[in-house]
Amino acid sequence: MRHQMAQAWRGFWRYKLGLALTLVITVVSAIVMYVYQDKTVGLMSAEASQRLADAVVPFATVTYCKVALIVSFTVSASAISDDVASGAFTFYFVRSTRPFDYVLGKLAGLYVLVLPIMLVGPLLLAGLQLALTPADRNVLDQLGVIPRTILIGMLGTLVYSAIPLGFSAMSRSRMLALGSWAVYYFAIGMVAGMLGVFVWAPLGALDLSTALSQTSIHAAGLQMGGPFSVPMWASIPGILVPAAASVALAAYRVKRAADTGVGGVA
Amino acid sequence: MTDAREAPPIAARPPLIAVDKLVKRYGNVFALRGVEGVVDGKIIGLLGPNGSGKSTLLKCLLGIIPFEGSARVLGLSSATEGVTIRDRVGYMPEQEAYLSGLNAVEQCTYAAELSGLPRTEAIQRAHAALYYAGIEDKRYQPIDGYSTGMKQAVKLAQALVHDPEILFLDEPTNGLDPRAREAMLKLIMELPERRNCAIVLSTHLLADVERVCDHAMIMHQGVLRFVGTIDELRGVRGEDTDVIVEVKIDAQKLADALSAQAAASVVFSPVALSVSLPLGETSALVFRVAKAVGVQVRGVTIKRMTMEDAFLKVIAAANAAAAAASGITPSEGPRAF
Repeated sequence: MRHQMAQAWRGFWRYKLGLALTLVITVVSAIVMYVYQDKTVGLMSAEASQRLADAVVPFATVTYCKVALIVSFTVSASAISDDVASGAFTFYFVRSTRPFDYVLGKLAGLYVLVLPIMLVGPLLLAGLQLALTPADRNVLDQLGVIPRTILIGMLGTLVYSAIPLGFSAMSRSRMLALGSWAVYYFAIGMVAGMLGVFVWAPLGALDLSTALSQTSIHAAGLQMGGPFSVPMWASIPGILVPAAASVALAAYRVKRAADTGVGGVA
Repeated sequence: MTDAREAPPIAARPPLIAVDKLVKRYGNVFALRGVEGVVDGKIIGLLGPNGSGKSTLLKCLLGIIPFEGSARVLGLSSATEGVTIRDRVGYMPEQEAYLSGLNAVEQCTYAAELSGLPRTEAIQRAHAALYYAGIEDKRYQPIDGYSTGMKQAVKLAQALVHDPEILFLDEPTNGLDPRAREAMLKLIMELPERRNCAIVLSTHLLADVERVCDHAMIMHQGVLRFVGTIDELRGVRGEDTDVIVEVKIDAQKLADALSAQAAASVVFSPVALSVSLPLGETSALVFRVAKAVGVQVRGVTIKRMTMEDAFLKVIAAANAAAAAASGITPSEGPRAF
């Protein structure tokens, strides 16, 4: 975990860029929320104004996902293949580190790195939303935004840490690991999205970004309407199942690599 | 790092390494073909040409890779107790083993923590190990910018940071310039005294083994061909048949007289000659003959085999035995390093 974080912190483009973008998104979203909540009175009905303000967090989450995706390419999707190339793999396995401990450490490191993007930013916005709640609305009803945001943040963190980690274990080549993650996320995601639109809406959950954004929208109680509305019973497993499979795959690959020879013996 | 571990009584201590019918194969390729032997000593040289199975043997002993047969380190089974062995043994691998982005202190601390030490103690030991390895002043710089010699020193520090009972050093002088190599060998020589640990030094450099080791293991084609002391390897056990004789004058006269006794002599100068004694004879023959012909002997030195000669002899004997067993005349002699 410590190594993962130290490596990510080197240079600006790997991880700090993601944090900077998160900050920008948070500030812009906060301004938008404030404007909707306070400054549109008289321009539209209070209810419409409130609904727009409530939608800021889920829609900002979609933008945070884009940032987390960038970080998944610069950090997560090559975590294990980079270790193999740099000799870090050998460093770990000539000691009493077990393959599963190694994978858990990597997962924890990536989770901690993606968490500020997927959870801290949305949580700040959710807090602002609560603070800006008009006095005539029931604050207790509004409190639900906090657990909802935490749930979505944690699921989103899982998407951009655990799943690319699985891809990073698929090959010793960094480029191959990044390429396979890109193919899975974009190409397979696009096909799944089309299947969701044209065949059966729950199939859209196979697209990670759709699964996440739909979970976020449903959790916020927003209605998208139309054919492209993936139900939550499909969208949440659409995140959890690939994440679990990716961790299992990474553990298997690492165990096999450690068994067949550390440092290129095999 | 100055607190030397108290050594257990010799009788109570299991051998450092004991292997029996150890086989390791990668698909159809045999890396180890039934390695057998019991090894003890302070600094043990694991010798063999590239590809002879040295690194594979070390990894099997550490329990990093699976194998067939039996291997025990400090009495622990490598097959089932690899994790415990790796906590008690330090391993300096041949290839790079760094965590990019960390400095030497962070890396050694992390290594110590992975070996089970609490963080505070790990930090202290990391500093001490790096000081011992000679990179005290640059220990806060990222390792990515280190020279090859410094990287090797960090690897050594990482290997000994958790105070191991044995150190496995795999080609520790690889890629080092003469000065750095000298410094590394000096460190290795001092380790058993200062840290009270045994060392297994895997190398293909005979000179390194001759310089620092008291015991040797010779690997060739995946088989352990020799286990014993360096003196045994070089044939110094009172049965030496080659001597250098220094005389006051007239070495040729002595050589002629020795020839009559079936001893082959080569005269270097009027005062020195090399003598190969006939089988069963000792250096006493030289004195007898010299007295008989009236040549004054000033000194007799047993001509020890060089490490290279000793190594080649072991390999040639193994090849001859293999050829005899298969009924084929060996066509390929041992390859020199």
